Amino acid sequence: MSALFELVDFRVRMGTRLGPAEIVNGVDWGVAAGETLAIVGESGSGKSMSVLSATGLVPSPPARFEGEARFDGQDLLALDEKSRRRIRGRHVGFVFQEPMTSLNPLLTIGRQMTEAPRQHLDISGSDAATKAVELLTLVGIPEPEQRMKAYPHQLSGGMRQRVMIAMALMCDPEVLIADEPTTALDVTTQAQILDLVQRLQERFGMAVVWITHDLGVVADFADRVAVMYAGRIVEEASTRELFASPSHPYTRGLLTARPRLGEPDVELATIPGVPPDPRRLPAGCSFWPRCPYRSDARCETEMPPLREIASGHKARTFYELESYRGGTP
Amino acid sequence: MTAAEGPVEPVVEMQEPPEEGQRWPLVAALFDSRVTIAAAGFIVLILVLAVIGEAIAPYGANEINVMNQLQPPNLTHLFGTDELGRDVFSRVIIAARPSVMVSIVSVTLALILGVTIGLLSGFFGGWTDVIGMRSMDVIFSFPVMLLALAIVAMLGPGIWPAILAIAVVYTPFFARITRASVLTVREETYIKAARSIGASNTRILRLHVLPNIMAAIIVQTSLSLAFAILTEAALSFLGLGVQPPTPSWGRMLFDGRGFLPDAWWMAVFPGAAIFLTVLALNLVGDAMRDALDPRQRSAIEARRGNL
Amino acid sequence: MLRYLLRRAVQALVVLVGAAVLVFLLLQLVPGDPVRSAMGTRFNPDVYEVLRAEAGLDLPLHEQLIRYLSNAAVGDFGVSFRNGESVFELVVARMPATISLAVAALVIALLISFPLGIVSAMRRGRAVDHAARIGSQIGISVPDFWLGILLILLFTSTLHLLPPSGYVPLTEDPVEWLRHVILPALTVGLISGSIMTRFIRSATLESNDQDFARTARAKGLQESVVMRDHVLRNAMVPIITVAGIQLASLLGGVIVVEVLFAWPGLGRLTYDAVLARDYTVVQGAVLLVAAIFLVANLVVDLMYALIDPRIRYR
Repeated sequence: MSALFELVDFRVRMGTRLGPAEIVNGVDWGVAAGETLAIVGESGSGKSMSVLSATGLVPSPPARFEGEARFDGQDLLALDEKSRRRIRGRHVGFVFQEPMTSLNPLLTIGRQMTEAPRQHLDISGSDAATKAVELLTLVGIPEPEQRMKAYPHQLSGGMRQRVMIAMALMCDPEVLIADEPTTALDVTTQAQILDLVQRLQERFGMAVVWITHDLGVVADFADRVAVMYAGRIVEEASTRELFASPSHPYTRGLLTARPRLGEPDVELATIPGVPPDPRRLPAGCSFWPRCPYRSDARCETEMPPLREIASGHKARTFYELESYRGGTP
Repeated sequence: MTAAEGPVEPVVEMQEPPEEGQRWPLVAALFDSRVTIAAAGFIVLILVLAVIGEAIAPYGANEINVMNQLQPPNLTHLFGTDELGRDVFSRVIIAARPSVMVSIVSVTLALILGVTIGLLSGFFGGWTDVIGMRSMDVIFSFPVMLLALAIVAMLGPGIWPAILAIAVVYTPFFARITRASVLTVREETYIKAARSIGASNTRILRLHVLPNIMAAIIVQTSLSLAFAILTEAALSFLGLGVQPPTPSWGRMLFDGRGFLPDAWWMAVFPGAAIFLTVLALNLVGDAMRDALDPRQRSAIEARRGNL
Repeated sequence: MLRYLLRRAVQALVVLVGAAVLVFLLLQLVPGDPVRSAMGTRFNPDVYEVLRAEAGLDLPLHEQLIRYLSNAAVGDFGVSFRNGESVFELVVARMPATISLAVAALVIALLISFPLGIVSAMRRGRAVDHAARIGSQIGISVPDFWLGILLILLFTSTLHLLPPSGYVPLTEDPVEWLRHVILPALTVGLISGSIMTRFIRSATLESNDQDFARTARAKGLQESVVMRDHVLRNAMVPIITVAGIQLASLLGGVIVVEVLFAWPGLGRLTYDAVLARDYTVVQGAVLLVAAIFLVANLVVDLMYALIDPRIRYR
């Protein structure tokens, strides 16, 4: 399957008062139609920045970009602002983290849902409104016609997020980008939203990029997972592979940090320390200061390359899991 | 070297906090740009003049020499002379003291009163809050200058009525800012923690609440000082502030007005002194605000309006 | 929404009563006999007795307060101790001049601040932004009476274009009114405009940083649409507040400017009354201004409710 949306050696740099910061450091990933890619990392790992920058939502001075961000083969960064905006509006749908603040409090739901399709699809107001009602029904909003006239503050958080999802789908996008969409919601609603997006994907066949810091969220849902740390991908694999054989020490740390049912007396493991300052990245492997293994002398001075340790499974580490020693199958 | 499966005890060097969170963001803010340094320098200059102005001025403040009256700026009289032959340059220098003094004293009074009211209102809530804030609202319901004028009207012109009037008018700014800060701080966990170990209210106020509202208060102080100078000058311009024989910048404009446009130097130079001092204070206040709390919208600025 | 407005109105009323009490108490601070001081050299024992009796100055304090408040409620603010005229009428006679100056100044302020503030925010860090910030910093630091003098020196003494003072009612002669109002309106308007520019700039920047602006851009809307429907619309909420406060300040009598330009408005009335020790006039003027201030704030609240549905549908 060829990738519909992909990043190729993508870098984002920002100049700060105290020196340049490398926020995204050479990232490659792609997602195909009907596929779900989860990008997992802590805050500051560059996971949101990479996607937002790639689609033109980060202003370019002060940030600087290198590499390519391709939609359907076309490099978005090489386009002028207007074309990029058109592609973004027409082909990419966004769902953001905070449903409370992501909607304009002064405009009705209906107005906010129809403004993009009226511009990009060149359809009339009433046609757009009809479509909006359809999508609202699809995402499970009761009494959608009434809701069209409502204001965001009149809806609950979960409902607002559903509206955001419906809004993102108004122009029939081929790619859906969800940036921590369930972080601000309670667990039950989280599960509902996840379920909803999965069903929508099955129905419409979009490529989905799901950005999150919570590995557990993507276990059922994602096809592939890319783990990011300090602006780089440190591990990439199919979901099943990743959970079965996490190869990078950071991934292992993330997995073991989750509480498990049935093990009530086990002390929760944490990864001590904090992620590095993007202005002062350590030489060598970025994770080295926090790594519990440090198995290889090269870790301190050399950045491990992202190498394929099993079919479709890449990891950026010198540490070798027992089961993989001896080379790739 | 390969490791066993289990993790080894990691050696973790904690990252130093980034340089941005310097120990004294205030001082850092002051040295941030050349403009701010210049402004701070000017303030120091004015303070110095306030202290030693009388000693270093070339002429006395009331050295009358009618033969020399109404001279335009020249080499012996840098800013010219007024209708009584007094050297305007010397008067401008000497007048720094009363302006500075009125501003500092009145703002200090406003600060003490306002912060106290704000602390009590924010911390204790309930009726204390209602009474405190409603009375602040009452004062706030008058334009700055009007209330100052009314107070001076009742007490008669002079330096102390002016100080009192300015103090009363600026108290609500401090009260509101303090109260707002206290309300945000009050809900913080460390306050609840302190309470749970039995710390008394005074102790909590002193050790926990006060340091955290300092930032807002400091910014408000520098801005208030600026506008206090403007208010005092305005009152003096109306003849109601500092009275002769003490010279004051505003009063010099009051006197000079009658001699426009010919003896323009009588009004232009003292006015420039006011302007530059206020500008310097505002620049410094702005720099501090940007460093400490960029979102602190200045209520005092919005109401500076028209004195 | 009605409930919200009602609540605000009641609050305002409470504050107004408080203000009236404050104003009343101020009179008590006056050393000596207020009537005698006001009459000054035109002292006349019979008139003196009448005025004192009318003002009820011999009654106990709390009775005086009640009397004052109940009179004020129906618009009776007593008479001037100087010339016996009704304070209310004196004040009302000055309103047209004050209002025309306030409106002219506000127009100037808005014409300056809106474009400058918005462009400054949109082109943040560039030349126009720096210029606007420097300019507005100067504008809020300059003493209004000094600025007025400078303008007079420029336009009257040097260019001989405009009169230095005086007033001609708009209804009488619009051109002359304009010629007379420009300098005072500029003086006030430039300063007011500087305040507004800074505020509009920061309100726009803040609104632009909000999540909903990001959502609007993510939807690929044109930048002009994003600014108009999302960023600026939300920024209007705080902007209107400040504009309202400005207008209230302006209406409250720009005392210093009115004195400088001999503009016969409320501010000058108050000033003259202060000099003449005409305390009832001072009281009445101050109280009326406070009332105007509060009404202006209420109007701002009304506009808030009209713009922001969160307040409307509470």
